[in-house]
Amino acid sequence: MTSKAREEILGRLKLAQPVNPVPMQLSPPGLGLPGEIEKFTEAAQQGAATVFRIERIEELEDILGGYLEPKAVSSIMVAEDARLPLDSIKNLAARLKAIYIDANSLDELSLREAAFNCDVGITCCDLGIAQTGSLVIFHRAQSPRLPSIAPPIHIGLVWADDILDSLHDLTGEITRQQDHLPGALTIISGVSRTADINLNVTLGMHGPLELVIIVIGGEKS
Amino acid sequence: MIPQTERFKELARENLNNLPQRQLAGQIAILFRMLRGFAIQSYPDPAAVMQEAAQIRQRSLERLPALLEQFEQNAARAGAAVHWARDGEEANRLISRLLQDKGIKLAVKGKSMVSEETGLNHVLEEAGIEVFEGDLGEFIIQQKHMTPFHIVGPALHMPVSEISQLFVDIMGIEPTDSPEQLGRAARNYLRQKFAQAGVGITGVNVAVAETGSILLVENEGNIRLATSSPRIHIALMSIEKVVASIDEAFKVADVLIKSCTGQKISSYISMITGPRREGELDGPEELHIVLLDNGRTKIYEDPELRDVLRCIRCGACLGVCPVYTRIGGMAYGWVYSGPMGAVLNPLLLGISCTQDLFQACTQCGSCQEACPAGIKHTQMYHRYRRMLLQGNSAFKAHKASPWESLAIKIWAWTMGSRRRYKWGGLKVRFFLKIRARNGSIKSMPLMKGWFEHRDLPAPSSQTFRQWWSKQERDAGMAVNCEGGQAHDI
Repeated sequence: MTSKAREEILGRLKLAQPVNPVPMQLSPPGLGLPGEIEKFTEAAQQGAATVFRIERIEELEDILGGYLEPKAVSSIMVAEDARLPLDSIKNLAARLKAIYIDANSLDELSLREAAFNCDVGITCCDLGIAQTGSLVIFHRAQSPRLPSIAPPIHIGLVWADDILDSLHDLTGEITRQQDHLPGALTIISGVSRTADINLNVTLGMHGPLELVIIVIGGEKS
Repeated sequence: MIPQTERFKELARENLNNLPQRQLAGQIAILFRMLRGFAIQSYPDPAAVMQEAAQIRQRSLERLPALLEQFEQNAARAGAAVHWARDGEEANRLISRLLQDKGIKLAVKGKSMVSEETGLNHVLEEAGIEVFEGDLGEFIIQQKHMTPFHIVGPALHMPVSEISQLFVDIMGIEPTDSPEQLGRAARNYLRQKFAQAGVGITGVNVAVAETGSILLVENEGNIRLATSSPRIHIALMSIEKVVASIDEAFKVADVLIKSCTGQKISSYISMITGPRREGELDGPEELHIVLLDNGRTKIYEDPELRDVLRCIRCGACLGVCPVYTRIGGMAYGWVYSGPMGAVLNPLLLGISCTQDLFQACTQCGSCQEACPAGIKHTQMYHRYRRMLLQGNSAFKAHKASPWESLAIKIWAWTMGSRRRYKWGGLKVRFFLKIRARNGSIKSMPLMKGWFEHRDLPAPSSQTFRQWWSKQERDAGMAVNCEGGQAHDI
């Protein structure tokens, strides 16, 4: 059925009378230019994200502790990554009396269940976009998709050197990597939201209700 | 969704009489227009960006068959299963069978207009598969069995109290007038579905031929959940969505987001290239992309109509349309409303059964000014009118009645000569003057429909031509109107 449909559809399209092609001059692809951290922070805050800047990754425990302590979280899911100070996050979880879950140690069904039931998801992000305050995640084996979308609080870590200037710069970067694209690539800009009832903007719809961005490194102006 | 486009006049009247809804449609239009204006102006050179987007759409259509083949090849290389469907029925059957074969009983959906076009939910439900729309507005209208009010906010017309009652009935919550609490209730209710569903069904905003990827934009997170949690992802995509490169796809997506909700960027953009890769713990094990024709090749075969396929479903045309902003989306009786509906529905459903949609157009051209894809709506409407007059079996335009044809022929004959036009104008003026009462004409024989919603001002005491001649005489200049443009009747 499908191949017959394919033949028919493509056959008709190919037989259709061509129109004179218009010359197209596309603006050049993005160069992957670096973005300013201040611009990134401001844009992310406009998207209702909470942004912290730290000089060194070792400061992470204190920052997270300060943010999470008043929230009485009971479980923290971490997509474990070599760049993360896992021991200090485990310490923090113990201090908060929260269960520490390593997303990468679970099987598929457990990950799914845990992601929908835990309070916090901590993930490393591959890139940032300064103009829009966005985080970019290339989901690969060690960076599953659910920890950044299912838990009510998403904490995304991005390194200052990985922040690009614009979406256009990101497009250039993706194009350069097009032979090694991941199954899913996500651009996150602020918390999930809706205005579907009475045009009332409600922050936090199906995705996280809170987005915390930690920018690591980079000189503070 | 069963089209009700033939009820346009009746539904439009209902909506016009619904004052709060009419006001709301106007307010939404102002808001979206404003937000969109700000977003577009944020480009360093807005005109150049819009022109580029229109060119990308045009160029993609020129190369459509080649791009589709390239997309198919690359999507398959990335591990996706690509299916082709000639019409909505075939697509629905294919998806339904696929899910039945896998024993799937629960489906969650990301907002997809094309699945509304094919009526997929209904078919899946008949096959015993429970379907939940994930987008809040879509979820509400799904539960109420309604057509969307607006492409961006399908349930914006619905009073909070009505949504509250709906959620009381479905979810057993306490009644509330807080949109936040209602949103939270829907979140909690649908989270269980996202966590348990066997399949996530989405549309496609843009597809990339060079990588076989699909791009999806959203704000709520329902699409990300639907494409991350279930083990199967089905993307239903109409064939015109494909562009050549990643760069082009993101350019179109960027313009789509800004034109649609007026945001600088949407909360989430997902670029999906095949199913989950080896070693990944989540994401779908199977990605099925269904390429749907449903009348597009027929449109494509006509070079004049082809440009309609440039539409990126942003809805920019809705907010600027003087008709839509007064009657709202439900009057259009199908998935696509406003100028988008008036230009698409006739080609997808048939000209005759949708003629009231484009006949209601005021020809002001605001829609085409706003359209980032460069569609010339008014030219299309003229073509549809021509099809109605001449008849067209491919697009189900039943030839006009002999009386109407005769009237139009007489009109064309009269307009074909300056002398005939002048003579005809004088006769018409004479007749109009007889009918005029208190400065206006309220009815005319054989023109009940036209006068149903408007009055015609009585003719002025002199025609423009007479007035002009007098001006020139008074100025002592030679008068020679021969060959001049005719402006009066």
